Amino acid sequence: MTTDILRTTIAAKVTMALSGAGLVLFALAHMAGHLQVFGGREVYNHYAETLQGLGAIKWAVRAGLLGILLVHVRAGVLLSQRNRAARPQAYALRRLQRTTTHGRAMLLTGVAFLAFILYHLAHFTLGWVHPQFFHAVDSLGRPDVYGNFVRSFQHPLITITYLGASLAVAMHATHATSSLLRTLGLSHGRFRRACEAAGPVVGVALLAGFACVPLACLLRLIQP
Amino acid sequence: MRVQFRIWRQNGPGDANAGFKEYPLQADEHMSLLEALDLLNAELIRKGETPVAFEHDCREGICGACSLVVNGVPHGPRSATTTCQIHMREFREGETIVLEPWRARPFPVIKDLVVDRSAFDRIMSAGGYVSVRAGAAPDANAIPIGQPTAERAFDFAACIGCGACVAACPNASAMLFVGAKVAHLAILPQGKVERTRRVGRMVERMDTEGFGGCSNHGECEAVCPKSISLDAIALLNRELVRAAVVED
Ligand code: SF4
Ligand code: FES
Repeated sequence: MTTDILRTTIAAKVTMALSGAGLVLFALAHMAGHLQVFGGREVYNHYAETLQGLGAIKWAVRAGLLGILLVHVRAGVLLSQRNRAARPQAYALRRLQRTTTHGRAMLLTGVAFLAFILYHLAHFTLGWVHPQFFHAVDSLGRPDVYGNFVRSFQHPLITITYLGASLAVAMHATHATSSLLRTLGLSHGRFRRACEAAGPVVGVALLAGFACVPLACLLRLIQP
Repeated sequence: MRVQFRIWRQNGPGDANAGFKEYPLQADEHMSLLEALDLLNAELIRKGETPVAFEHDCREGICGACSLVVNGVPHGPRSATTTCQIHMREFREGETIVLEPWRARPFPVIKDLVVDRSAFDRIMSAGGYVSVRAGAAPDANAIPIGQPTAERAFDFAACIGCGACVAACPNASAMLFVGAKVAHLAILPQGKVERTRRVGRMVERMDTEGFGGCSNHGECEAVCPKSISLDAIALLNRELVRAAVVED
């Protein structure tokens, strides 16, 4: 019995929800971390060095995130294939009443964000793109992550890319957060309203928190 | 009032010539939509044409037989209302009224606007029942049930199995229907006995029939003629998770 339950679509949705919850939490933590750029070079480079110094923990977290992401994408692909197959003939006329743009765009924002992650890693973690900013060191001899960060975002094209990605992740997380709370069976009765409000709250927080950093650099509110 | 019907005509499953046909009709605004279709069919029969096949039974919003996508909305323009309860006064003079069948792989078109909804019956046979002797009506009072519990169970029991939730869902998911059945029975003591077995069996059957999964768009709740709440889906998910960890 139990093994069959694990093969149902609902089990796949629960997998989607749990991995998604992990990714949303990571996005929030990542955002909070990067807001430290407003603290200046000292604070930010210290933060970056602390994270780099975690060694084994850092690699465990990276491996965990990659695993979660793969599980999430796999479940997403399987479910959306199934969903498409469930309506082979489309309506000639269908007036949708309740769903939202971000709800309908989950696959699109998800794929866009996946592409962005690769670029983002190549930018700040690996230094493959825009290497001109990557190798600087600060006065203490630490990698000048702050300088790389701020100089990168003084380029409009880089900033626009990141703003687009912020929007995609915010849209994705808005639908995802409310959605996963229902999939996990929490969004009902008197909890429903709070669960449905949680999505937009997380989405707006992510959008504001992620977008303000590159914008501040572009507008020279933060100097390298 | 004059209206123009634009109706999906299909001569049996897999008809390659299926498509929309236009029919002008002089109707009365006090007629129900289905009475207007009766009138149209009477005219078609008089002209020697094949009448439009559509489903209906009680025509009072309680049986779940009627099933039309009216101008792009399952069960038409009025919320919490079945197709049979829609009146011609909902439409404008000269309006084109588009009628389509429910569209979902597990609901194949039998003819015109009639689809085969026996997938729902098979989900019900998989577990949507109680195996204990429930007795006659007075026996319902043998086990006292608190008012809030009774009301909550009844809200879910109001589902008439029409399938509009599937028709409305972008994924053709049946989770509002299955959730309503599972939640209704899991809430009451008579249904609790089999709750672990029930949810797994019904969900497996739902998957086998080929319905999609829930992406939480909420379209089902918006069209449901009995206002079944999305809470049903949350409770269905919760029941399934429970069944995965609890032994019967
Ligand atoms: S949940 Fe509502 S829309 Fe779905 S079958 Fe039941 S009554 Fe019809
Ligand atoms: S015909 Fe019975 S509910 Fe519409």
